[in-house]
Amino acid sequence: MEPNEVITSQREGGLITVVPLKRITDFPESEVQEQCEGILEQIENPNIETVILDMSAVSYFGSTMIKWMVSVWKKLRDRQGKFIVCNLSPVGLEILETARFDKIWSIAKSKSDALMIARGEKVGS
Amino acid sequence: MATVLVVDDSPVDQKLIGGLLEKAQNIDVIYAANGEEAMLKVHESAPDLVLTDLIMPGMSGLELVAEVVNSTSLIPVILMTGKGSEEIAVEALKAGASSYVPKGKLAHLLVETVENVLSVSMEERTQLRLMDCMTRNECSFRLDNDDAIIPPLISYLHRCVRSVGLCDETNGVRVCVALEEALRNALHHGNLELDSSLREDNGVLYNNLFDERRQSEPFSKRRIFVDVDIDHDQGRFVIRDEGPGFNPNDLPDPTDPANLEKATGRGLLLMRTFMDEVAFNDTGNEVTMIKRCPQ
Repeated sequence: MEPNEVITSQREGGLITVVPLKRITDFPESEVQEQCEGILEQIENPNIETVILDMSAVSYFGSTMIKWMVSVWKKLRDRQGKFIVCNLSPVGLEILETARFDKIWSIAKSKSDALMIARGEKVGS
Repeated sequence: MATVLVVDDSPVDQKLIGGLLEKAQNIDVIYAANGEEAMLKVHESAPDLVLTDLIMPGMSGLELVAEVVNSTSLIPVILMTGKGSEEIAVEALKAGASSYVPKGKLAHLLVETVENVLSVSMEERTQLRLMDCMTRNECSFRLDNDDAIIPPLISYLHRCVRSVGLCDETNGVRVCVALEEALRNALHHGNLELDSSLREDNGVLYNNLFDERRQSEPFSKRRIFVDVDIDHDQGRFVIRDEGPGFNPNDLPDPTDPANLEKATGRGLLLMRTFMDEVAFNDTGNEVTMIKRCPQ
């Protein structure tokens, strides 16, 4: 892990799991933005079908992160891919509900639920 | 005297580690043989630091790191790793460990690492104790156009609203969201006059313009002024920039499905959602936000 790393990603086939780290709120927006742009470049790859955004370490985020999430979603939507957000904090969920994205994005309680949605399985079955 | 909880299932290793630590001044050592016993001792004895082995029966060192960090963020954890465990050490740091020491280098690195982590942690805890004595805070800040200063300011104000008893953790986080939006609005759209729609079209161009304007007049001479008055009943946050201002009524409704993909207006929506009152001055370059103590 790089000392200034605030967001990590791991690719397995057509799936990328993106995990913002707890310290993301301690870093200036310009630095966070730069790292988010790097992740966005990975998602440009047409073989990426699904992105899981695991927010387990993040207590809150703001409009900048939402803009980035919208960019990810738009890229995937254009190729009929899936964008799944999981492990949101109560305030994180409230933020997405306020901005109405809970209506159009898949929100999963846990990473395992997110993986089920990614595989097209019904959660809880 | 600082208390260090050593967690290791091997009595031989416990003795070795305890011997090294006891050579250091002002360190008292207590022991646990596994993660479950360690968590009991964390709650019973409130040690100043936890030093744990990675591989143990039952709860692993990595799982213990996460447990301790989640139950109390005030106790730092150092992980002792075996040969070839660098990736796990990285995982531990991601999970919130303060540091790690390879087991093969305990004799050289352990005491120094423990002392360094204890020193930082003790200072933080002393400051937190002082913050807990706060009953009211009236303060003002004048900020350069430097986005690196925004996170520590938000973190400080978060501590203040928690310390005076205005907010519980969840409401404290809501205040953080609103403050972040108001401060970035003052910096990006107020002082630097950057248009959000530019970011939609070209993020790189937006970022370049952000850097350029921070260095060039008239933008570079502008400042952000923050006035705060917080007590148990209410928090009042006034944020003013030196830009030309804007009319908040001109912003599109970001919750309208037609605007969902647009970049503008969402920050103000979050401010209004998470504060009890949000009002702009006539020029539109000063916002006053009020958060009241929930009954």
